[in-house]
Amino acid sequence: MGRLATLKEGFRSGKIGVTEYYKDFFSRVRVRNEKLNALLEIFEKDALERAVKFDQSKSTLGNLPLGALPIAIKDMISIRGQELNASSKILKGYRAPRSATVTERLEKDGAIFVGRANCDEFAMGSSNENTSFGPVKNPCALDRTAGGSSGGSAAAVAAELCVGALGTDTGGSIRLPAAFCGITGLKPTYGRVSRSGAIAFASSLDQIGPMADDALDCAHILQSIAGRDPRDATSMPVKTENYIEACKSFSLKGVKIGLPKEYFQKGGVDPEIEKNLQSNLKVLEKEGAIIREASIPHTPYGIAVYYLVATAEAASNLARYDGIRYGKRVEQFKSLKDLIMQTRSEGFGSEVKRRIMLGTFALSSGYYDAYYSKAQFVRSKLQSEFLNAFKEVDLLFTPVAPSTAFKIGEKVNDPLQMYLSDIYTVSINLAGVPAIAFPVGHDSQNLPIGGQFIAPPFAEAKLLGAAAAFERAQPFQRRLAL
Amino acid sequence: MSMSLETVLKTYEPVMGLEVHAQLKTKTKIMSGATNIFGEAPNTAVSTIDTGMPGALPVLNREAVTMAVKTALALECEIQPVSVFSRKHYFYPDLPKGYQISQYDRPYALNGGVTFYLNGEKRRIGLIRIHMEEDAGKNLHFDDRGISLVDLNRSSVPLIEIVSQPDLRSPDEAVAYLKALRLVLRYLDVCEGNLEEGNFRCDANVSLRRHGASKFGTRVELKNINSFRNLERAVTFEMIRQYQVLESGGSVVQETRLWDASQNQSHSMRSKEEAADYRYMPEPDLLPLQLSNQTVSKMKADLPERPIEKMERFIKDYHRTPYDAEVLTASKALADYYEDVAKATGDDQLSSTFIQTNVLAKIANVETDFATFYPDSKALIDLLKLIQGGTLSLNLAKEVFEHMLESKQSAEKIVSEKGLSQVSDDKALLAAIEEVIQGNPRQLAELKSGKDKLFGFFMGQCQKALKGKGHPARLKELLEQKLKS
Amino acid sequence: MSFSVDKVAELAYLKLSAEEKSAFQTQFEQILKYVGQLQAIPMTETEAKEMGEFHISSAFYKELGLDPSATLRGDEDSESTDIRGLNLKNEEALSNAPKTGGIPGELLFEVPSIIERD
Repeated sequence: MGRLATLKEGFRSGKIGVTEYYKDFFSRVRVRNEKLNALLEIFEKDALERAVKFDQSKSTLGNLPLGALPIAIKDMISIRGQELNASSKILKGYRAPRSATVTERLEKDGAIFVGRANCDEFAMGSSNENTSFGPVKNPCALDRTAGGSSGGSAAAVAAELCVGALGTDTGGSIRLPAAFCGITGLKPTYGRVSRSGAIAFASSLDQIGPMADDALDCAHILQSIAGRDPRDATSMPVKTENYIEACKSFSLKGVKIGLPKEYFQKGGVDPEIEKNLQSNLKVLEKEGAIIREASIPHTPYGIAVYYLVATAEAASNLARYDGIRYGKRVEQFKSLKDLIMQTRSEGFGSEVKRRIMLGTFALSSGYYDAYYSKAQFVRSKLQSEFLNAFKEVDLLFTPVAPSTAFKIGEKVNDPLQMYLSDIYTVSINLAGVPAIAFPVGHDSQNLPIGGQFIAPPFAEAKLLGAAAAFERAQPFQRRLAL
Repeated sequence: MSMSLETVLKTYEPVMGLEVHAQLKTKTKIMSGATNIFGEAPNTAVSTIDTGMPGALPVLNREAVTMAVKTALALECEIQPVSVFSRKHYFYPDLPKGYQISQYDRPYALNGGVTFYLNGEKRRIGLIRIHMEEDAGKNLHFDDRGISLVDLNRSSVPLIEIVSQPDLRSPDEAVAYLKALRLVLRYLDVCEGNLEEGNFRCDANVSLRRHGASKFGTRVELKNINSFRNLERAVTFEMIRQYQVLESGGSVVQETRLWDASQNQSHSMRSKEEAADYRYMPEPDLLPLQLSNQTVSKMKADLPERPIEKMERFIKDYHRTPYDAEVLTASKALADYYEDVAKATGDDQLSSTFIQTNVLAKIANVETDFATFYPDSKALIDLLKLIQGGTLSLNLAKEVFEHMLESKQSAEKIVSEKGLSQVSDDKALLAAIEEVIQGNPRQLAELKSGKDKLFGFFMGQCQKALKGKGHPARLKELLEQKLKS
Repeated sequence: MSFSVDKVAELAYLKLSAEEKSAFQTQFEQILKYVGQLQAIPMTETEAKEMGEFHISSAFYKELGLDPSATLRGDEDSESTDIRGLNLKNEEALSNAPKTGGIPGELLFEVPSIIERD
């Protein structure tokens, strides 16, 4: 069992006392965080205040699905009264006046927030190196990236600084770090989880999702946060399912699993990952799954489409950061225009600036049709192709990344190379369908390898169930370098 | 150089269109649940959404959509089954998100028109489109201190932008169109329609076209028009300005000019080298707006009678002139008032005259005052019935009316208390006539010798003797008879 | 496909250093070449028109037979007490502002004088 489910059981049964658990919890967290830089801020005081209340009223613990469980929140999601930076200098000092819907729901279910998790600035990056506050180190190998953009959340889970975390996924930002750190991360269907209160990167791609040890732990978190929110007009009125039950009862027997051939091109992944993939397929077959070929023909265009649509929306969403109503404003300026331009230029890191520039260009007069509009067109094709694929199969199975965690600093100077590491994740965001990344093995360096299931819209129960079934068939033991 | 419009019109035809922004009277804003209210202390009617806080998302106000669609239906537009919201990007302190949520190439309503009467003639001005958008906040300037202060109460207040075809051909027509448009909005109770308060705003596009030419001239945009008077003045000024430019061999520069009411002229705004690039993008946080046939049909069926329809009905069924009809439909409240009275008394003319002459003189605001005005239609009906029944002459009725205003009492009560009923009894009338004829022998002789004008003198003297209560028609009849003999 | 770093930076209200400008110029040429592969994909006029109405969720609504008008909000907050948009207190709204003016309870955001519009 994952640590979330285990701790929940421990608290509920009384075997573990809440106050006792939290007594030296934060000193352990701080020691590990020093090495990893996973958390930008630790909410020790608030967390302990809340923890004490639980022991005082043991009865409430039983009724709260996430009672007293320590959860880390990516520095992109609002918690009322807490600082929120998006890992950016431009928001230094900003305190959220209201909680996001997801943090409200977690809090209502009893969760205790451990701290703000480090991430790539404004969630833009694949390695958690694009941050003003230092990169996150991978708990499995301290000279490697934890993946991005939710690197801090992944590392926090892997290194046991919490029993679960929230991340955001726009082009793979939950799934890639999950794969790199050897944990499980789920990107829900677009519209399954409310985005209200989460700092927007690319509005039509962003989703908030759970990151934890395994599928069942993720299911506990998803159960709390999923469901229509009237504050988010893109959240859909689709009934949630019993995700916890799905993890326990799902069987792979007879399940049709498609392998999209575009994801299995020769040389598309490192040889060790290739080898691991083949053995995973054998495991799936052994469990009774029926492996089929599938095809998402426009896959090769995914990155091009993503880097036009996502950057355009990002340029738009970041237009509000002007130093007037919140954030860090420059002291010296010649005029209002100068104030805004300087504030933005000094406050944003270079990756953010790069994407804003690209996005602004894609929307600009004379280029809109060729770039943004055409990208949306190809995107709609991708979406149709996924929906069509699911007419033949129940799930798709693919790798998560072309390689395991790369070294810190290895790709920072080559943006295009960095973008290409998203090849197996971006199309899923473009189509809006859900996907889960879960650990399927190690390479010869003991670095975790992730596998990915993709499901039809709103079939998160299937995703979690399938990942849980795979875990039962091939248990995974994380190897930490701590 | 003093220049007249006539001179301009000899050579050129003005081609004008108006872009009107109307604030909708919803309780909350269009994209945010904060209160939609005017005049409150700054930044007290705001939310995370309309202040552009990180993570805040817009949600479309259903009532704003309903009001917008009703307006478009009343303006004969084609409601689009699918319309799309777009982000219009520019940096400005009163625009907290760095973009305005508007509708760009997929507005919810197309075409349509506004019909009205101008100098007795019916005219229809076409519309190009109407779209929904959110208003921006307000900047308060303190240039002496080198600062501006931003109030976001108005941020995200619902607006509809109504764009007319360039069908307007004179300043008077522009004013008449704007008034007619405003009336439609007021009849639907979707907008206050107050130019001075800024909940109803108007920009004008003006160009001149040489008579006989097929191409339109370059158009200039005029802003800061905050009254009907200023609209008339601004477009007139612009027509003359463009005439002078063209006649002196120059060409009109495409630009935006601000009207300065205090100086009675317009100034060019800082010209930009190129038009702003707003980088329009479909709004991903909102779904495309779907308006089904069913929804639209129901709204259309529920539409109240429109001003032009009411006007034409008054012309046809109540035999009013276009002028009368326009006056009597100046507000829905007034129109209902007239109609109540005309129906109950059966006398369209009397009702119209009495209301116009006496009631309207006491009404400051035709939109709001009828709610509390006395005599209400029922009380006025009673008064007019007394005229019809012979109890009161028109003059006496006016007197009674004044008393009603003051005392809030019914006509009958006043008449009986003050003994104001008119004298219709022949005996009394003849007695007065006799008295006056006897008392004015010289005038009688002059009248008999041909000075017909003196008839009025005798009428006046008789009324005086009767303390003004003589039944005018009967008195005239009897006096004529008496004088013939 | 000519990309002017200066023009785009101006639109995006970014002030770039000389190094940033030259780095971006090179990187963008590379990136735009890569994304330029989309140009070769044919798109008819009808398809272009439909793109204006594209929304990632539309296909889901269609597939599940759900009514997208449910995403509209009632005018009065009572429709859902959940609605985030209820009025912030003046102090809350201004709590993160770098510079304010006006009196407590009626604070405004302060900026340097706005000389030019738009």
